[in-house]
Amino acid sequence: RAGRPITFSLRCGARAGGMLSCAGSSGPTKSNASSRKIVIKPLKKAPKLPENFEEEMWAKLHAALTAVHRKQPVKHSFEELYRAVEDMCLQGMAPTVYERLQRECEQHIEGMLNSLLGQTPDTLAFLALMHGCWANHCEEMLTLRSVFLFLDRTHVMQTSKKSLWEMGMSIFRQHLTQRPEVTSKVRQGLLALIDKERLGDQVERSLIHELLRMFHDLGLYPQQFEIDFLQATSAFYTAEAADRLQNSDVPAYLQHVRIRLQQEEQRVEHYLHISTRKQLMLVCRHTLLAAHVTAIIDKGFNHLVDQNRVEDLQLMYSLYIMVDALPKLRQAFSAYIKRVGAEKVSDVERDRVLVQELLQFKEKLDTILSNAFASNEQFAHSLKEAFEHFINLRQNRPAELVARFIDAKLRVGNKGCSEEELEETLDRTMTLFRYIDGKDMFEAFYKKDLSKRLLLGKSASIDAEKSMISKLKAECGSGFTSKLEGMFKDVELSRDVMAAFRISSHAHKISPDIELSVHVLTQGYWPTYPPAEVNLPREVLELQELFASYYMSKHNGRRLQWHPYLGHCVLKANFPHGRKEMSVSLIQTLVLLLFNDEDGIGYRQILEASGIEDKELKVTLQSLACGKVRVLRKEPKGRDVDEDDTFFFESSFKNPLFRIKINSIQMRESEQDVEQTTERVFQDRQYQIDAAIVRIMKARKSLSHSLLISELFQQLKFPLKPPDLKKRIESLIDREYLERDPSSSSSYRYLA
Amino acid sequence: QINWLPANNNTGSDYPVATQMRAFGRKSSTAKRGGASSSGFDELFDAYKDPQDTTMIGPEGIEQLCTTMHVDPGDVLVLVLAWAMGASRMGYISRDEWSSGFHKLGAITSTESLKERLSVLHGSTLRDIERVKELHQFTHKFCREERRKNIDVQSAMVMLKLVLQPLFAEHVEYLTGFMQEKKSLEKCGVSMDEWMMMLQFCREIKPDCSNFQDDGAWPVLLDEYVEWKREKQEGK
Repeated sequence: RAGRPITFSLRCGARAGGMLSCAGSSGPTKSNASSRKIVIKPLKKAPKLPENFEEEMWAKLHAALTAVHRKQPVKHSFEELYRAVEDMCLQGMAPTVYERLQRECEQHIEGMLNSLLGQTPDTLAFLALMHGCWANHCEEMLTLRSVFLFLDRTHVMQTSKKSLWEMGMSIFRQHLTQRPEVTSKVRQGLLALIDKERLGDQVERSLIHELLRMFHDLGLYPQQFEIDFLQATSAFYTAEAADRLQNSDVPAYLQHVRIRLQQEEQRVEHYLHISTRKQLMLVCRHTLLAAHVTAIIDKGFNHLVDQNRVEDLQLMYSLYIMVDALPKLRQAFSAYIKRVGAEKVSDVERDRVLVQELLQFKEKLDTILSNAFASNEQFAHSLKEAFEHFINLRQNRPAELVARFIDAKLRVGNKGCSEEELEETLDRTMTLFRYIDGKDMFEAFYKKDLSKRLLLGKSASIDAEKSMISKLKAECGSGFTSKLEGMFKDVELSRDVMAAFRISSHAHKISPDIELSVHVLTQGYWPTYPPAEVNLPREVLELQELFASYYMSKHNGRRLQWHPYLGHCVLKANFPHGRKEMSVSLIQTLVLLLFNDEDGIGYRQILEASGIEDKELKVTLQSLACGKVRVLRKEPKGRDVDEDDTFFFESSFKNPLFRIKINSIQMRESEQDVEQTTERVFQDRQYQIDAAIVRIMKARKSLSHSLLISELFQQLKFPLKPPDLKKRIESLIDREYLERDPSSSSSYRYLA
Repeated sequence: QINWLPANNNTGSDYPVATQMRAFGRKSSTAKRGGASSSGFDELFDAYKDPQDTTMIGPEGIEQLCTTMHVDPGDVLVLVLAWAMGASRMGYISRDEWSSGFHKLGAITSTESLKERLSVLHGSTLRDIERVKELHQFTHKFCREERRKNIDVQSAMVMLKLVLQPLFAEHVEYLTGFMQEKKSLEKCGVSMDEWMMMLQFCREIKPDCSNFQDDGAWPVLLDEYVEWKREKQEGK
């Protein structure tokens, strides 16, 4: 402040009416109307600080400090105190002030914390004390900070000293950690409270919250609390899980887990620091779920699926996602399906209802998949795989049963099925079909059944039939269905042929009381029916002749082969008790017509006269004489037909109906038929294998065994086993289509 | 009984032979004055030929030959003889086969030398695996019945023992055991392919079948054999 004089030149006067008053600290004032000059001269004597400036100032501050620490009113005003700080700082006493302040605070804090030693063992009370201690400290520091703000804003910033708040924190922290008795009591107290809350009691959440905040603000949160907290949590839930799992069922346990997880999330919201959340949830999920994933599945999964407990399964799914345990769940799902499915499929007794059961099974699993497992793609894949696995455990039979199931649905007399229901059922059946390996086996049976339906007029609806064909086509390609479609065409064509025949000259030769209908079948389309010769009655032979001559006149170069076992007739019969019309097979007709000329015919005679094959004849006679409708009488009585039996026209035959069906045996499929069909498919497969081998070898000339096998697996669409392929290879070697490569016996060469 | 010249032979002269044969009232073959060996085998042939069909030596003749050689009719040497002759039919040797065989065997003047020559041939064959293969293949053709492609199980077992036992005793023992038990073999027999692969099997695969590959190109019969063997071993 000492130094040069400062000269102000002022122009006062005629300006705004004397607002400016010029004053100088010394020297004359010249009342000049024109420019006035003000000269400020420095002080002659530099001002000096009062002697006890520091002590006085500090005394003020110290008094205030003490008052704050003792929670007593402060003598001086805030302004005064602030000024004191400022003044001291301006006088370069900031470091001293800081140090003195620090010392005082340290003393005080130490004192405070010491007061916590040897205190009550009562947890809650002690925690309250701690809280009080902390709250005081914060409040005091806040106040002191405002007072000593100037220090904070200047000295602290200029040096690298801690800010006052931080200084306070640091002292508190230091002294707190030096008193492990206190910290551990606080910690135990907190953990005890949390435990209590977990066991269902109410606790002082805000207290816990404040103390945890204290730890956090002091930077002591992890070591003083978090680590132990997580350990305690882990121990708590490990024990709880073990106990609960034993004593409750799986759904109850899972509910409990869900609740616990919710509670822990809330705990974070209520008082835990947010940084604990991730680890906490990890610990909980691990102890409650992850560690028991397999045990839970083993204990209750199968039961839940059995009982269709969709909601419980959904809960399980949502929990298992959290612990990355979906693979295990999926495995269990797959294993369940395979096990239950395999049981169903291998139970031979339940063959008749197998398809229905499997459809229901699939439906149930589909519901679970979509509602409980969120239509998870991998689960869906497992479902498919599992079905494919068990349905093919039993070769051939499932294919046959599915075909038969569809046959029953498409046949006349299938009750109570609306069009939509039928469509839906057929669609679901197609899904089963998709899983079956040997689709050619299915085709063989389907074809047989279709043939019967078409030839005996037993189709319920041609639309349904066509719809089924298009489903098969969409699934397997037109190659699969071309023959089936051919069968339909033949039936339609036959209708046209019959229409033309009836107006032809040939037809005029037929006696008016006989109606003839012929189905002309293209051999390649229809199932293979072995040619059979029976002794047809003259009338029938004549009819055949007439038709044949008509047909051959229209179609040169074709050969007609009659199949008596496929034919059926309506016979008009005169019984003493009334005229009847009987729906019978042509074979049955043969037998019955014999009784026009004779009565009391022995089995052997019938056998010879009719030319019917022995086993067939027995079945036929059984159907006429031993079933529900007996138009013939067998002696001796009995259910089985023997070669010594004799048969009579049953003159006492009575029946309420006029039209009687006795040809249901034609629609039935005997075990023998099934075997034959199966055998034929096997045979066919062998030809296909042979053809494929020759084709491949011809193209490649020389090929190793393993490559040949893998080519075959690729090309052939039915189930294959390497031994079967080997047998065909050996057969072809024998027949000299191939030879083993002389230089390497695991390779083959094509023999031209 | 024909007594041939003693082993310390007079390979050249056939005079005593002819004499002896006349002594026993047998017709001598057209004795060719040149080439001692050629007439030698001719006479041998005549000694054993079938009385009904003089172009062949029949089963009885062969049996007699065996007796003279002091060899069991089921001995491997008989098989070797048939192989050397290229005999097309078991139990019969034609004159042409006989003569071609002797060209292979070299000069023979007596049964002993025949037997010795056969033994030598057998021994040398056993040391050359390609020759073993030939013999093995011949055996299958030889055992085939009229118009059949396969040989019956009994013959197969016997022949397997005869041909391969010296080289693959352990395999042969188990294989024959297997063939004995496998009932379905009785119907169809053993095909040439299976037969030849049996030899290959013995050559490649260890007696404990540890290096057998299940998905290899072996005939199904051998797959089944290995399975059977493994089951037996586990059963132990």
